[in-house]
Amino acid sequence: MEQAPEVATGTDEGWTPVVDVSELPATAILASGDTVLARSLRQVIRSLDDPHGVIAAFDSFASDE
Amino acid sequence: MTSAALARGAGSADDLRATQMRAAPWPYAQLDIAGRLAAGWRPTPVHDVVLKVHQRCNLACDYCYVYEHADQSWRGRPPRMSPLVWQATIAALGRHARRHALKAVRLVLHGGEPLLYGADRLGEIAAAFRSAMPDDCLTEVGMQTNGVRLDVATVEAMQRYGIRVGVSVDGVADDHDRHRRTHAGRGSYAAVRDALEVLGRPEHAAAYAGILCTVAPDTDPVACYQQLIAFRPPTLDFLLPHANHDEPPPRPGESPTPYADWLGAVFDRWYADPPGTRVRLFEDVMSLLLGGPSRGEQLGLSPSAVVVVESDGAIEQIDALKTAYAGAAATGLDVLHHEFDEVLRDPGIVARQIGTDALAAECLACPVHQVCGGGHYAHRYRRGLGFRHRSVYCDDLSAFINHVNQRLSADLRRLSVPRTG
Repeated sequence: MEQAPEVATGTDEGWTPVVDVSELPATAILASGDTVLARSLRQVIRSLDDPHGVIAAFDSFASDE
Repeated sequence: MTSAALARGAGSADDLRATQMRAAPWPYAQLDIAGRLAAGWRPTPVHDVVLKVHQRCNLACDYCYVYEHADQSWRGRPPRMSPLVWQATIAALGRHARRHALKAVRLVLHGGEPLLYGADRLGEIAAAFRSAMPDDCLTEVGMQTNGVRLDVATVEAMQRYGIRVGVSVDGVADDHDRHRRTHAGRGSYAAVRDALEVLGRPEHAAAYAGILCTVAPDTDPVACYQQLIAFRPPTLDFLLPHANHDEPPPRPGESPTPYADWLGAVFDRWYADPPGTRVRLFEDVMSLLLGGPSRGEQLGLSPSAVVVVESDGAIEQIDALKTAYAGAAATGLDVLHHEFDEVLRDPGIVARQIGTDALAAECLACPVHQVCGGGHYAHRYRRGLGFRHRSVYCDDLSAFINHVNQRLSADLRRLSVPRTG
């Protein structure tokens, strides 16, 4: 039987970790040019339709997949 | 006793499990796998197999997770993997790929130093691997090397065999040579620089996978980045040195978050540069902040689908766990007697496939867990508790993620301002 996790020690209430892009059309970012931001958004969009499923690759090998 | 791993010294499967339950109650004593399966959870099949073709190394890096930490199991394993073991691995992976209709699998040739195995033997493994996988399954063969033996002939052989090469480099010469030295104490930078000059030639692009760099917070981050970029790698990744709560990382200087400071400086430079070299860690943070997944092990909650096959055939978890305690990576299974499906029921494997259910309450209560995912599994270890604990790099991860978040948010705010005129 799984035991309950340990007791929480506190949170950082003042910080929102996820950038809110809900009001921003993705096209605005994609149209921002070949920036790392645009590239990251394309990566997110590709992952929505990843036929292989998203997994964490082995870190001790340098690869772009 | 059937497993090579057990025969090597762990005694019996019961002994191994007892060791793991004492050292790491989570997951070994607390994770209810049968209950999860009954509730409908299903494991993610193996996707990456790391083949430890050669257990010895021609370098003696002072931070190596194979030789310099708690688990010394390499001493009892064969220096070289026998053909029987790699053939059994490939056959088992082929069956696994067919059983699960896998669309892609990757074989990573690793060590020790894999090039000590011989380029032609590596090519033989790569060819056998590709021919054993289903026709509709994409295959990739990679190799991570220290680069010392990577000359023109070897690079051309790797390209001919379809093996993509990753090289480990720790920045500028002095910084690299401080840690990555030969057994005689000589630095390896000059040899690696020459290797990367060859690998970086346009005609070898198909063989060049990228560079791994271990973060050293007492070095100049921008100088390190510029040196690495000068080698024109298609991909870079920065790895936090493996550490845990019992063996914490060095924290030089006054800053409480020296690793975040270092990574933040590199990120700013990379972010401002024209797009070129990809940096896995940075792209993962950005993807996670934008609501996407991660592709690496250092961040995020994407399931891990990696197993390691040691030179004796033992099927293990990622060998970074060897920094935790002796036996931490073991599963008690081996490729000569077991299928990869069997390892998917190992508590250590399962714990890395269940997302937030593997996190400590203190992590779940922190909003950053959506991005950090609890950090690298090995970095969460505390003796007597196991792996359900905040990362030893928690403060650094939070600070670095916050840094990237601020940078991204500023750009997004700028993009969201309506243009006039």
